[in-house]
Amino acid sequence: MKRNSSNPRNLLLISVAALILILVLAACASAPAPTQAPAATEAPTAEAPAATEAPPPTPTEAPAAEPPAPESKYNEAPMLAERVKAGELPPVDERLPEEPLVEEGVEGIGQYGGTLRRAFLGPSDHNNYVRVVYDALVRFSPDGSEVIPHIAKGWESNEDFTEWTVYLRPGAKWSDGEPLTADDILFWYNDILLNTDLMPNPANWMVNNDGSVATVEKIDDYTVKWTFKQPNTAFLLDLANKDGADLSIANLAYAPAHYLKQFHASYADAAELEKMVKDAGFETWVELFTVKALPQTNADRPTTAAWVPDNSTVSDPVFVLKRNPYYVGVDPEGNQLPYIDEVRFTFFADKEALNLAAVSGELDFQARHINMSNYPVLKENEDKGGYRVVTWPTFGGSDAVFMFNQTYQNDPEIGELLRNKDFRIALSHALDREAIKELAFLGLGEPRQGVPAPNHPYYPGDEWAYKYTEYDPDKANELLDSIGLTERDADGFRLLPSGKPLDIEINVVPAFGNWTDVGQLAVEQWAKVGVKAHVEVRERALAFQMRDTNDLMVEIWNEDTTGFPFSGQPKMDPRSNPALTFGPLFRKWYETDGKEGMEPPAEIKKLVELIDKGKVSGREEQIKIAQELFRVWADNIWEIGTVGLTPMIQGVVVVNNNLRNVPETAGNDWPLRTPGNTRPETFYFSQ
Amino acid sequence: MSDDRVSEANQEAQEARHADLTALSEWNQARLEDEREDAAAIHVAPNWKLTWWRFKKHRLALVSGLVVILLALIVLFPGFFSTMDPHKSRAQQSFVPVQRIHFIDDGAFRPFVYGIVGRRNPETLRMEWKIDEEKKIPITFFARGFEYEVLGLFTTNIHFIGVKEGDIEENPIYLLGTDRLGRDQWSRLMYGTRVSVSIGLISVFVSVFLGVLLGGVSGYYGGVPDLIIQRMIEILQSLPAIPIWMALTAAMPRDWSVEQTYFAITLILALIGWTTLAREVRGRFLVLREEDFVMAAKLSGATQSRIIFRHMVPTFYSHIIATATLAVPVMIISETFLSFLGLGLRPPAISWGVLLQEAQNLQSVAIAPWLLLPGLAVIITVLALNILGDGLRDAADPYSH
Repeated sequence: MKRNSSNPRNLLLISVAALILILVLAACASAPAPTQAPAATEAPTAEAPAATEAPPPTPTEAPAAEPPAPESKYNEAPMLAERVKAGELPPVDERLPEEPLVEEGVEGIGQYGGTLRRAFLGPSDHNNYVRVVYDALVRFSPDGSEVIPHIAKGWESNEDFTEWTVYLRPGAKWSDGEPLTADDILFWYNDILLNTDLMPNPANWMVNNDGSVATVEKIDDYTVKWTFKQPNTAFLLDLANKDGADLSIANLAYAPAHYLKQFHASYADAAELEKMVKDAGFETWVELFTVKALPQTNADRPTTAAWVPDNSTVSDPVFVLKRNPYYVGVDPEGNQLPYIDEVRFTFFADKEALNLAAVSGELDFQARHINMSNYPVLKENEDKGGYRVVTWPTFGGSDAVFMFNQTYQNDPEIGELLRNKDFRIALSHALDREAIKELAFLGLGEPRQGVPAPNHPYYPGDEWAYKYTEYDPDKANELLDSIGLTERDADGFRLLPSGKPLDIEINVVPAFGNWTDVGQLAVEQWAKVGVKAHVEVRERALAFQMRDTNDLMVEIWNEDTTGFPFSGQPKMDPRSNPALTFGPLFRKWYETDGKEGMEPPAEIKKLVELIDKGKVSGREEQIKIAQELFRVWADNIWEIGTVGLTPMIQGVVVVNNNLRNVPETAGNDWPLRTPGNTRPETFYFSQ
Repeated sequence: MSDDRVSEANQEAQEARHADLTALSEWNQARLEDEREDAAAIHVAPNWKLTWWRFKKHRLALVSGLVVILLALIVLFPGFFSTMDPHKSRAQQSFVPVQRIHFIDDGAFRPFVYGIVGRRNPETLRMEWKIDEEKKIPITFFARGFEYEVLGLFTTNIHFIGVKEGDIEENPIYLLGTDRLGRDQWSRLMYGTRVSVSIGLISVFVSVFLGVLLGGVSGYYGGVPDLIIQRMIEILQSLPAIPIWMALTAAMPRDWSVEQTYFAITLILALIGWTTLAREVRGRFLVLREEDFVMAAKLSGATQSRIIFRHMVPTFYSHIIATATLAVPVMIISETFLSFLGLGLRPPAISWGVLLQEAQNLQSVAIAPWLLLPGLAVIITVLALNILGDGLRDAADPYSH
């Protein structure tokens, strides 16, 4: 990993090439340039890529956006221009940083105006908002292949990746017009991360190998340095997931100090704070602070996103975001982004109603909660509804996997069985994945295990991607007999060795995929080899709670985070929090240094070792480690994959025909905050 | 034209008229005699016969009765009326539309369905089915098909209809199309009928039992038992039924088997349904216990149970039957409703509610409307039972006019 030492000539070349490309695109603004999204990688680029940092060029011959006012360097939306005229806002040049973020959509320069209509399912669907604004210092590129600058201007690391310097944009401002400086990062570090009242355990991305917390220091007003005790190649990936819009203060990496100090015990006047806590109906200032510190629960909290909550929160039936007059982005012609005035989330109590609204063209841009099985209906109504359907297949693993809880204890005998590798292999061979593909996936995708896509650098090879996936009931029966499940009841179902009936509960959250059907098909197919199972559909919040309390036996989920085993909260890491149903007690074991919980078997310890090694390795090494990781992962089959590489998970995108700059293809995963990584601030309505 | 011929014609006409008149008077005579016999019969007819005579006149109720008998047959032998295994999903056969049966083949009565070929539209990804006129699948009665159990007694594979030759899985007939998992909707409807209608019948049976018992005790003894039972009824009736059902079904352990859930739902419906009937029975008892014939029975030393079951209950048998018949559709609707909300029976159980719940999505409404047909079954059944109940109620009091 020596990209940071690439010679400056190359860099210059790239910037010139990028500039030319941008100019060409600007000249023929309608030429879309969809490319096959390459696989996301976790390549830590130690320097800001130059391409996106090109300084705003002088206006080209594009006629539509010719700036009328010669004295202004930048242009702004008409609604803001009016407010400037009325004296409510400073002029656009003063609102933008010295070096704004320059972004151009795939179809070029846009037009101002319009409301982006989206749908959400209420307060528990807060990530719907998080994904649209993607308010982080740095973020993933549209294809998910690299981390690019966003609110921060760039970064630098030392040779061994122990020190990371992040550069902010001088002149950048919060949505209330106050300057965004290094003090906002230090406020987060000193007063949120290190405040034991607010965070009893510091977020794990900030914890060194020896348990101490990494240091953060201010170099100057716009420069902050992170220092870790060990090389940290995952720093940027973690920073790209520290999202100011998230519903947890644990996921912040900077916060508006000027605003939040009034709610913080270290700064506020004790009596006044006490009164505020009482007035808001809380017990402690911590409760008040955690609500006030997050934009989705407090519309007054300044943010840096392209759109900010407009007097409404995720608990309202209509959640409206209005443009941020201080957003740091501009297009290559100097028009301040975003193009769209307003984002409006409308509450739907029912997913089917939401899908129906999409079919009738009432939503402008929606992939979340669009049911892939409605694809035919959506496609047939494209003309009538005035929309187009775009698909963004996930690049990770399998879109419905059966996760076997490795620490299940409610029934010790069943727990033992879930830990038995042969049992899992048998159930994998008993699945007729071709049938699942036809019936639950519209014939899309391919039968495979939960490992990254073939075009991904972490792909461990065909042998592991298709391991145990052939449909072979005889082999399944043989394996099941060999592990002692020989006795059967009157209906032909196998009994546990103790003679008790065996019944596997498959938990399904009817969230993103057609998982209930996948579960039902599995029940039917496993019955053919004598294994009884039933599907249990649970509401999302309840199921998440049961994951934590170790009450789930088997759960269907998708293979998200597969492309990111070394950052964020990957599902391959038993220490992740919140984790999926992999082994809740393993986490406890690691958290308590082996005092509580359950000790993981050697293979799982190996996983953890590999992950820890990957976090401190250079890119080449990291790829090798990841491949090894997925070989262990697929070989031990803690999860049974079914069908993958489909757009089932938030990948069927319904886009208003007038909405432009929406890429034809994009990286699609939770760590990318899709569609946040596709830069919604460059979307516009063509009039 | 001669006078003779004219008079001859007149004579013939007169004779004919006379004959007519004779016939008429004979017919009248016969009718009067019939009526007299009828009247005589009425005087000696037992209660059930009177009810039957009166019921016969209600054509619609009669037809409904036939529908109900047919339903009863399906409830008893769903496997016999099915064509294919209702639980089996078929990867290549999703969303097959309703297949029409053609009865006449080359001018002869040889029922058949055309074969079908499906292809996934590469653009919309929808399964599109075309009729293959080349291929005719002959249908026959009492064909061999999948194995099923008859009332838990023995297994057989004879079905009411099926394909003439070969395996039905290779030459399928989908009388009502298939669902998203390629399961045969017709067979699922048959099995769903068994569950939904039997839940209605059994729970009504239980509530009739409870109603007559508690209502009888309440009305016959009066006093403290009456007070307790009546207050209990009032409390139960004051509870809003739907939320109570929902709460009780939601409280059912989710790992219960299909049979256990079925049993529990039946009980839940019954435990709430008995109150109306109990009130009615109590009222009857209160009236009847003052009647002379009860007094007479008492004085001649009849035991209490004999008085109740031999003398009192028979006088309102017909009422109980009518009320019960009217209660069945309510129970069926309740089960359907609970299952539709996902609180009652759940897959893999099949009931009308489950079928409708599975059709409760955009996909089914937009591209597979035949999946909503179980709704029609509910409507037909409920109407038939209601009309039958109406007919029975009208007929139940043969002396009223």
